[in-house]
Amino acid sequence: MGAACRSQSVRTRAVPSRAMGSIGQDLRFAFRSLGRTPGFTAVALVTLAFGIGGATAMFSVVDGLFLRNLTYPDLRQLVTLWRYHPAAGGPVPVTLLAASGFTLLVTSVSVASLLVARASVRPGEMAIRSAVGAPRGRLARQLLTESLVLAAISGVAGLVVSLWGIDLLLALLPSYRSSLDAVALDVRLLAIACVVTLVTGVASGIFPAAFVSHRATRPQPMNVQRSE
Amino acid sequence: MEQQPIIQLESIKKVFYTDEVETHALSDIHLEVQAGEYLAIAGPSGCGKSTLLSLLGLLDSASEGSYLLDGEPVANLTASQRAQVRNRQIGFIFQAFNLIGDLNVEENVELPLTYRKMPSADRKKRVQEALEKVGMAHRMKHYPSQLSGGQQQRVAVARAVAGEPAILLADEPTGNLDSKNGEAVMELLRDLHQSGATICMVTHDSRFARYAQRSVHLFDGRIVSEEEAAAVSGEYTAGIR
Repeated sequence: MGAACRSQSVRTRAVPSRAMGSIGQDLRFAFRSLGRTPGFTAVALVTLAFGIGGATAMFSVVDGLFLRNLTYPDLRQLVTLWRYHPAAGGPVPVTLLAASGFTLLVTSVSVASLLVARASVRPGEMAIRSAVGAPRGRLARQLLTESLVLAAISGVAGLVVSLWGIDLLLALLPSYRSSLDAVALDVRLLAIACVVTLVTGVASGIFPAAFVSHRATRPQPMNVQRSE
Repeated sequence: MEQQPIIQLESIKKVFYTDEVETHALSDIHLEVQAGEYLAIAGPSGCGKSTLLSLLGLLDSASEGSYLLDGEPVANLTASQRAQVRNRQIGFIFQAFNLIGDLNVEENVELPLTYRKMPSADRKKRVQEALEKVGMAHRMKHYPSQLSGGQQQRVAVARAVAGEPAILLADEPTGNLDSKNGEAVMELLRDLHQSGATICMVTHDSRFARYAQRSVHLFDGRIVSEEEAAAVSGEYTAGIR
């Protein structure tokens, strides 16, 4: 009885440890794989950094100028008036939010294309992993880890880009300059940057992960493996 | 009581369809392989050897017929179940070695084990043992690009045996090697067989087919002959050098 209990407690501790081990392995492979293709990694990092930075800057300006609680004693006495920016041709918050969403979309599609192109020049690796028993989900997780690692590194660079972006946006919106202090680097901005980074990492990685893992786990004759 | 074959193929047919053209790669294949047997699948290029090995390795499915692996039918397994069977019961040795360039020797050999729920210490122990078996333990931290073809194939053999599979499937394992390294790999396979491994090897080279206990010859997708071969002796290997 005691032995059985001991054995069970060992098993329950071993499962998370194994899961952490395999995630750690995916992370190690992701860093190594990115390091072996410096050209691809540099282009993807710059694209993501500007995409994440731009979107974070736009979200932050909308958040600082329009969404935060104002420090007036009786907020119910305030009314909302949309300001129209002549260049944007619509309400500023809506325009900025649409622009930031579009920036994220374009960035994600660009990086997803890069990831698919990269995967198609190394089809053998995924086919070999599949042949030795990697389930499709595990292949997809490994590819998704690569895009999340890319996004995480780019997120840090993107934060710097977003600070420049905020200055640039406020310069383009002179009528809001009095509210400058509301838009600053703080926990909210960091949280926005993290969310934007995560969304971009998943959005850019999910399609390549699904596409490549599906292709690798299709039936393939031995002579296909031989030629790769 | 008769032992149940580890591989049992009945009336296997494989047809490929491309641009409205039907290619009958395999027809009416009946084959049994016993546990611990060393089988060579021989025949000219294009006769269906590799297609047959793909079916045996669950990399592809038969168009018709039944395949029992260790007594269990495999026809209706899902992709994920097939991956699990490949991982646990089958070890592959490819002609082009197929090591992953980004992984070092230790990680390549460990690869199939990482897809099992196995503690890291057990994996490391298995990897060490497998590499010692093929005489490559001293190259554990090297990358494939730093090894010769013969050494890469030895590492590939270590990867195939590390998971202690029920069957080893070798597709022209000497095809990319010079004769000296080719013989070394064949000797290695013979040692593995002598220690109890079940091996199915595809080859078009009759010299290497004679290392196996039994050879089946394919022609135009059919088994046309079968012969028991005497185990290759030291004298024979000396003779073919």
